[in-house]
Amino acid sequence: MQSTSQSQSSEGKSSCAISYGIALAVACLLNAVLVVLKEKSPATLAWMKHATGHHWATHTLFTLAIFFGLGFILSKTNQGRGPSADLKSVTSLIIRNVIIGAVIIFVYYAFVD
Amino acid sequence: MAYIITMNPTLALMAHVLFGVLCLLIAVWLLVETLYISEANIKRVRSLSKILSLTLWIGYLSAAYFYILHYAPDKAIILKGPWPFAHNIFMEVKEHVVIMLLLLVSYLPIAAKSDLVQNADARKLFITVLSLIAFIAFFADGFGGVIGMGVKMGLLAK
Repeated sequence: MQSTSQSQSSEGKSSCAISYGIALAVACLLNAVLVVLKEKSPATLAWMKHATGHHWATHTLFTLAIFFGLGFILSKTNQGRGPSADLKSVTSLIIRNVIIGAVIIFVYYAFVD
Repeated sequence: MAYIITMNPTLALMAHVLFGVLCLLIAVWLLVETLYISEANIKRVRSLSKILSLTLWIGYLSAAYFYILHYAPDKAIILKGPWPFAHNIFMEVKEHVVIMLLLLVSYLPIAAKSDLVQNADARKLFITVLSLIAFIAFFADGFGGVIGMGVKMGLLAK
């Protein structure tokens, strides 16, 4: 009985890692997309400056909101068990999106801007 | 401490560097701990994950304070000097890539809650996140050095 309870608790903690892991991957990609968007669209940049007083502060808050907000929502899906993804695929997703995000940012400022 | 830092922007910049490097050191320490994880050190791994997260958050907030309120004169010096790329490429890339670093360190304590001792996939995920943190922190440190040199080159050229 205790073993079953421990197993459920362990699954719950892994489901949190999965939910917030997916949110992390999405937020990393959106972070890079927002870089290109604000640099290409003066209206977006102006709005971001107006929102908090500095575009970078807005950028940080937006990305954090995506991470914590999406992670929380995902952790509540599937009757509180979170998305039916496994830790391996979440690991691959995080690696892929962090690399893609970093490359987009670097290529944009080094070669496009 | 916040009062002292707000009175002296240079202290905020130094705190940023100090906590950034500390974050890198703790990440490497945690990597080694995780490679030899057992019931004996799991509590330490989870505590260190929270400390690492807190360290980077302090470094990030002190950087934010300096960058938002006091970076403009340095930026002008860099852009007028012989190393404008120190801002146009290195600063721009750093300030946006470190947002991912902030996300990764915020995620670390969540990943640490999984059963890292028994579950190999959870352990691999944790090590992956730690490696990304160490990698990005290392590059952020180097990029910071180039930005500092950009200011120095600008001042020397005057």
